[in-house]
Amino acid sequence: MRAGSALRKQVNPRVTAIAILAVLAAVQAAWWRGLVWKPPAPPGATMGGGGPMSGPPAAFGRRDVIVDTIAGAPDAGDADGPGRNARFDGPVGIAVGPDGALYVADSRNHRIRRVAPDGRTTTVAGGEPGFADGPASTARFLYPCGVAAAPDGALYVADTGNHRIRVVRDGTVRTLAGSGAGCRSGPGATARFCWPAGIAYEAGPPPRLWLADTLNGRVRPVGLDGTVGDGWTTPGAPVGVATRTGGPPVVAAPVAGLLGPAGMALKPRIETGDVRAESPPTDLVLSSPTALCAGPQGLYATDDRHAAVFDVRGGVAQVLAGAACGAARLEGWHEGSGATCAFGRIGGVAADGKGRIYVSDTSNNAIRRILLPEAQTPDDQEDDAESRDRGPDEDLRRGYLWDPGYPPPDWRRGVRPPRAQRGRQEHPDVHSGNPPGPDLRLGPGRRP
Amino acid sequence: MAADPASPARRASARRWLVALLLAALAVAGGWAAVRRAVPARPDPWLRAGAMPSLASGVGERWFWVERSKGAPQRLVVAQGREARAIAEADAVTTYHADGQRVAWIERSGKQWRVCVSELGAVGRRVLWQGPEEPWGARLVWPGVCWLRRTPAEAPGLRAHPPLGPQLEVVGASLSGGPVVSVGTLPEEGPGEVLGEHGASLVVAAWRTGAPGNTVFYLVPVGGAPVRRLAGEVGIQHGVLERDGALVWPAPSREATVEAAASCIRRLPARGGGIETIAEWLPARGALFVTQRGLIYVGGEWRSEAWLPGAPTELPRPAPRHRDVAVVAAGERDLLLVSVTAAAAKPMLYRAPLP
Repeated sequence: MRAGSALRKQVNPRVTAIAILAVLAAVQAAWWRGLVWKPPAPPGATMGGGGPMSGPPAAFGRRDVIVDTIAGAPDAGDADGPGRNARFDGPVGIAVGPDGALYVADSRNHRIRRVAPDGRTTTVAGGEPGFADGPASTARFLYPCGVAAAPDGALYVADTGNHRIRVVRDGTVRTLAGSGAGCRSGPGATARFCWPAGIAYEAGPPPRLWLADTLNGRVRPVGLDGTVGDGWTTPGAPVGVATRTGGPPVVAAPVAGLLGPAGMALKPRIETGDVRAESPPTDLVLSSPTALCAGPQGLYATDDRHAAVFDVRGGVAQVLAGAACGAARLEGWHEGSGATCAFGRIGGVAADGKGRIYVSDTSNNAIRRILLPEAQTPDDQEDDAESRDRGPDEDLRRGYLWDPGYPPPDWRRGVRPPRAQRGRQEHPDVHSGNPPGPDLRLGPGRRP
Repeated sequence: MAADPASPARRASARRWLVALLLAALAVAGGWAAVRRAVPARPDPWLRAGAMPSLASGVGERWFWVERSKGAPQRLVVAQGREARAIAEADAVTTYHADGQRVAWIERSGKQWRVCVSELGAVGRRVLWQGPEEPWGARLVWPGVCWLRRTPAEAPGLRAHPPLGPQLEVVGASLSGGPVVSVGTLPEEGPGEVLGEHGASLVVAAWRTGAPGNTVFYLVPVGGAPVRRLAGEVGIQHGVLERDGALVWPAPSREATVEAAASCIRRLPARGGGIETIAEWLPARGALFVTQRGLIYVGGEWRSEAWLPGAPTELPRPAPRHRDVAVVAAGERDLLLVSVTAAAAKPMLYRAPLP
């Protein structure tokens, strides 16, 4: 009796009741967890929507330039039409014509396309693969990769697969030089090229063309009458050539670098264009250029190892738009400022001398435009205000930049159609963004 | 004053109780039937996999999949009845294709890649090709196996120029071995896959990797005629050929504001005509399967469901499934499901009839 009385004194009924309720709640919680609990997904099955929380150090483009897409979309096709309704397949060479239109060597479509200043794309010449001179509608090309526009309206085409230089003038296509694979100088049809990929027009005097005779490893002058000179050999396979007023042509040769007439190789150091980028890499060089064009004070160039366009001056390649990274190609299809945009593999670049740079985004099958500050209108700046407010680090966290091993879960966020297309879709096929990259997940219903 | 058990009042009371009990029983039975109708029954367990299956496909009575247990090599497994056995074990089994009699697959051991074929009723395998370069997308195409391989670029760094960069070659070999012959070349880097044959041509998908990447479908005539691009699509997509030869593939939604958040199904008829969208607003990142009941789309979410594309004007609906299972894949005759109630290293698999 005494022990029972002592126990009663030690037990607080209120505490005991709370304890019992707590135990009941725990049991109920466990039971409920059993109802709703699901096993953790396999590694990689869920990304949570954030993507990689940090990326490799990269040099980003300038915030004061604006990048947008003026024609095409990532899905390959061969449709003419306005803006993003048009379809390309592997556009490479690009040139600005005297009429302000863009001319594009649409390589896998075997066509030369024209993008008018209003954004409408039409086919200038070509169609089925092959070789045929004649009216533009019946002429045939084979993987044309280079195009140069002359002031008189003529278009010179590096017809890569046919090993020829073609000229399109007044709706007619004819062969200017070359007649098959080989390496020979001489007039017209006696000359031989081997997969010429790049071509540039030099106003002269005398006016002439410069050809990157790629697999012959030569850069060759071609007179407008079709006479082909010896030119000079290059240490690598040249794919791009640019002419500058009063200066010798400069050649882009992947792996070898930018090449001058004496074969002097230049591998300019890459500098970030975004002063706010934290700890940009300092050991990058532009070593594998694939395309270039003359700028007002230097060159605009691209590099096979970086999804970016560079402003090359005095031994320095500043990232104008896109991202240069030593660890990975930070690819994408994203508009915004130079610091937040993303490109795919770039095959061509052209400038109009008025602050507009046009980029042939080969792997995205699109024609992109870079607007320097002097070419921007208030509308352009308003469109881009939101993009410019974001920093590159924030964009990395948002996961739009692709990093191997991380499928971007929602990289399309932030992609906005041009002002003219906002609020409506002109065509069911028009889409302003893209899905994630390769699905790396191995789980139910997955195929690697 | 105890009531007489045989009294009328007592009998009436008993009848009332009996009626009430009958009504209650009927209500319970009806409710139970309604619940069972709304919540499908848990399917009967089939067998336990060695690891979570991937690349599953059902061919006739057999199911195939690839699995990798922790610390073990990857295995290509075939299951029939209540038995599963490994056909191949290697560092990686990247792709396979089975018909009713044999299976062809691509495996890697160390740095060596192999294209192999095996009769389903026999032991052993035949190596059709081996080498250091990765082949892609092997498929049994009578009378042999076709796959894709990359031919290097003429010079390094020429990948921005399609005709100069690496090319994707479609090759094939006889089931009995022999030389590997070229069927055609595509202006692509790869990877890709052979989707099947239609007439005297192969239908091939080439993937342009990167972000966002894109997929291009080609028709490759076996006789050497020029290849023809059939369609292009954003992202890396896995297409299938329907029995009538139509090419079908999942694609980012054409209607969703955020296209990547939902998928649609696109179809290119074999007899000509344009590309049509046959279903919209499906879960993203799913896979398409050709079954005896037509196309089935298995969603890409963790608790994935099977969806039957309805009429283009209708929103698709998922087939009912028990909440404890997820759909792995749709085979020719049935669905393969996996338990999702426990993170088992060796998950229980289930089979269920096609919806």
